[in-house]
Amino acid sequence: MRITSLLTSDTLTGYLTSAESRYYQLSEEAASGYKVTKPSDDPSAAKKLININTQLNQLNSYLSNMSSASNELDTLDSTLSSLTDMIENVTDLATQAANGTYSGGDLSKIKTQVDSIIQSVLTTANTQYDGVYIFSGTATSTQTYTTVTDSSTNITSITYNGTPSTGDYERYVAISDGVSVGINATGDSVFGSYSVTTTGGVTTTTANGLFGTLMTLSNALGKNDQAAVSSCLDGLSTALNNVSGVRTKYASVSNRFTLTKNSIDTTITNLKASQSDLRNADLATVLEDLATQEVALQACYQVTSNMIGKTSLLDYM
Amino acid sequence: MSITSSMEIAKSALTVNQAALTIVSNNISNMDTAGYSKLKVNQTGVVNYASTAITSAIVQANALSGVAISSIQRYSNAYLEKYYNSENSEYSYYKEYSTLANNVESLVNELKDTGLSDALSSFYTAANTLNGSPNDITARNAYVSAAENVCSVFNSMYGNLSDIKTSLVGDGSSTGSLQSSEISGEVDELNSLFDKLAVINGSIVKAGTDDDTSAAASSLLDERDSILTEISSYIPVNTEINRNGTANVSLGSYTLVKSSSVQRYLSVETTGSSSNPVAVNLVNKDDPTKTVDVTDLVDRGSIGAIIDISGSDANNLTINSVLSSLNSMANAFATTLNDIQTKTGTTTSTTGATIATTPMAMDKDTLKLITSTTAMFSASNGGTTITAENISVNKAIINNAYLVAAARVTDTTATSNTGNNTNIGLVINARNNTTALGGSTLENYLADFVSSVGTKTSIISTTLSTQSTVLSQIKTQLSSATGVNLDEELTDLIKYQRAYEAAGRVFTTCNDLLEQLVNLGR
Repeated sequence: MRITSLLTSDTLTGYLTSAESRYYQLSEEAASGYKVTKPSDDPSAAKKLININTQLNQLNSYLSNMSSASNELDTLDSTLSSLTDMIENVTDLATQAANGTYSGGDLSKIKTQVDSIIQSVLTTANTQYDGVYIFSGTATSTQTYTTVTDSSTNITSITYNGTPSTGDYERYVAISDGVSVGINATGDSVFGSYSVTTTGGVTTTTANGLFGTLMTLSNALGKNDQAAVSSCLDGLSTALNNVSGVRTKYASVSNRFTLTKNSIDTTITNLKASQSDLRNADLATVLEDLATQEVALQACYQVTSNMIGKTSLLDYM
Repeated sequence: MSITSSMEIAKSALTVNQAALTIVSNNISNMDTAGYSKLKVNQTGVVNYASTAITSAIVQANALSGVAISSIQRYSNAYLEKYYNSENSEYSYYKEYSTLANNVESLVNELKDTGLSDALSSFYTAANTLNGSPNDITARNAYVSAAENVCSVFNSMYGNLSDIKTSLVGDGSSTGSLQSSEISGEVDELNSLFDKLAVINGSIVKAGTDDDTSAAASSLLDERDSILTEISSYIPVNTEINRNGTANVSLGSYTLVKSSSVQRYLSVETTGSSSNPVAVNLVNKDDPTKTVDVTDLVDRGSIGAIIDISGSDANNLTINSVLSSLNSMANAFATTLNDIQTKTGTTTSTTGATIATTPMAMDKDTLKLITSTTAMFSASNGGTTITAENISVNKAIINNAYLVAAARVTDTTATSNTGNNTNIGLVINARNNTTALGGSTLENYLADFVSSVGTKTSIISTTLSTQSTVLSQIKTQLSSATGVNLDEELTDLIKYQRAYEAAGRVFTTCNDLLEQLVNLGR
C-alpha cells in the first residue's frame, strides 16, 4: 500500500484523538467517582437509579412522619400515665370517704383534695403537643375542655369541644405505601363530660365517663352522702380500665412504628447498596486503567512526533 | 542521420525533463493539500514515420525523434470517491444527530440534582410535612412553593426543548422563525454549492479535457471532487461523472446539477403542523412554480438528521416524543391533584353504608373549614388542557395557601376540624397511583422515558463511532491511492535532474562535433 504524507498524519491524528478521548473519559470517571453520569452511559442503570431515588425519598418521608408522630405518642403515653395516677389517687380518697367512720369535716377535706385533682385532670385533658390539643380529635386548635362555674364557684359543666368520637376525629400518619395510622384519642372517650342544666325549675345532670364520676363524687362529698360516694367507686374503676385500654391501644401503635421503622431501615440500606453498585465507579480499576492509558497516550505522542516530518529521503541526500 | 537531429532529440529531452520537474515541484508543494491528486508524467519515445521507405538502419535511425510526454496521469479512483461520498452522507447524518441527541439528553438528565424527579421528591416531602400539621400556614406555604417548583421545572424543560426544535426547523407556522432556523441556513449553503459545482463543470468543459489528460484540468477535477464530498455531507446524492470530467448530481430520480447548469434548488417551507414542522422541496430553476416534496428522500446527511430529530417517527429519537411525554406527565400530575383538591368522593361508614366525602380548605380569616372549590393547578395561558408548557399553580392558591384542601370530611358542618389531614393523605398516596399513565406511577414513567432517551442516544453514539471508523478506512485507502509520497517525489526529482544533466551533456557534445564539422573545411 502506498503511504502518503496525508495518510500518515491523518491516521496518527486519529489514533491520538481516540487515545486522548479514552484518557479523558477515565479521568472524568475517577474525578467524579461515578461511572454513570448521563442516561446514555447506561440506560438501564439510569432507570433503576431514578426509581431508587424515588423510593428512598418515599421511605425517608415515612421515617420522618413516624418520628414526629412518635413524639406525640410519647406525650400521650406519659399523659395517660399521670392520669392513671390521678385516678388511683381519687379512688384511694373515695375508698377512705366511703368508710363510714369519717365525719363531715373529714369529708369536706377530702372533697377539697378531689376538687384539686379534678382541676389537674382538666389540665391533663387540655394537653397540647407542638401547638396541637392532642385530645381534641381533628379540631386541633380548639381547647379540648371548657368549664362553666356558677356564682359560688361550683362547676356546672365540663364540656368537650373537640371532634366527637363518632365523627372524623382521626389524625393520620402515613407510614408506608397506602397505609395510614391514626395516632390520637378523643377526649370524650377518655374523659367523658358533665353538665347541669336547669330549665323551668327542673335540674338535669348529665354525667358521663371520668369527669361525670369525679363531679358526682365531689357533689356527694359536699353533701356528706357516703352511699353516693360508695357508688362512685364502680365508675372510677371503669374509668381506670378505660384509660388503661386507651394506653395499650396507642402503645401498640408505637410498637408498630418501631417495627415498621426497622423494616424501612433495612430496605434503605439495601437500596443504597444497589445505588452504589449501579452508580459508583470502582476506583481501583479506574485508576489502574487510567495509568495504563496514560502510558499508551505517551507512546502515541512519541510515535506521532517521530513519524510526522522527521524521516524522509531528504536526510540522505 | 545528422548532428542537428541529435541536438533536436537532446532538446526534446531537456523540454520533457523540465516539464516533469514542474510536475514534481507541484506535487511536493501540494503534499499536504487535502483532496489533491498526485500527478505523474508518462513519457513515450517519439518516432517520425514520415519517411515512407524505411529500408536501412540509418534511415530507421533518422526516424527517431526523442521523447515526448504522452500523458500526465492523475492518480484518482472514481469508485473509492463515490464510496467515500456515500459513506460520508451516512457519517454526517449520525454526527449531526449525535450532537443534537446529546443536547436533548442533557435537558432530561435526571441523574443530576436539578431535574423533575428531584422537584417531585421535594413536593412529596412538603406534602408529608403538611400531613403532620395541616392547619399550619408555614407548612401550607411550603407545600404551595414545592408545587410551584414542580411547575417551573416542567415549564423550563418544555421551553428549552421547544427552543431547540424552533432553532432547528422553525416553529412550524411563522416564516420568520423558519428563515432564521438551522435547516434554512444549511439549505442555502447547499444551493450555493450547486452553483459552485455548475461553474466548475463549465470550467472543466472549457479546459477541453478528455480522460484527465490535462494538468491544469487536474486541479479543477480536485475541486469538483471536494465540492461533491461537501454536498454529500448535507444530503444523500447520486453522483455521475461524465466522460468529459463534469459531474451530474441527483437526489433520487430528480436531477439537481447537470454539467454546467443547475436544474433544481432545494427549499424549505413550513407545514403548519408541529409534528412535522418543515418540508423540504425541490424547486425547478427555470420554472419556480414547479416544486416537488422530497422530505422523505432526504434521509441521510446533516439535513436528514435535522429533519428526523424534528419529526415524529417513533423509531427515532425525536424532540416531539420527548415533549409529548412531558405533556402526559404534567397533565397526569395536575389532573390527579386537582381531583383530590376539588372532587367529592365516597367512603364506607362503620355500618357499611356509603357516605360522601368533601374536600375542605380553610378560610384565612376565621380559620375554619370551608368547602374547597379552587383547583390546585391551571393552564397559565388560560387554555383548557394542562400541558408541561402551561402548568402552573392557581394564582388564588399562591396568594392564599389556606385554600389548599388538606381535610376531607363526611360532615361539612363540623368546621372546627382543621386538624383533619385525610385529603393530604390522598395526595401522598397519589404518588403510587398507576391509572393516570396507563400502568406506571408518574415517577416510574419518568424513569422509563429518560432511560429510553438514553438508549436511543447511546445507539446513535455507537453507530457514529462505527461509521467514523468506516469512513476513516476509506479515507486511508483513498489517500493511499491519490496522495503524495515525499520519497517518491524526491526520487523522481533526482531522476529528472540527472536526465536533464545528461541531455545537456549530449547537447554540448553535439555542439562540439558540429563545430569540428564546420572547421573541417578550413
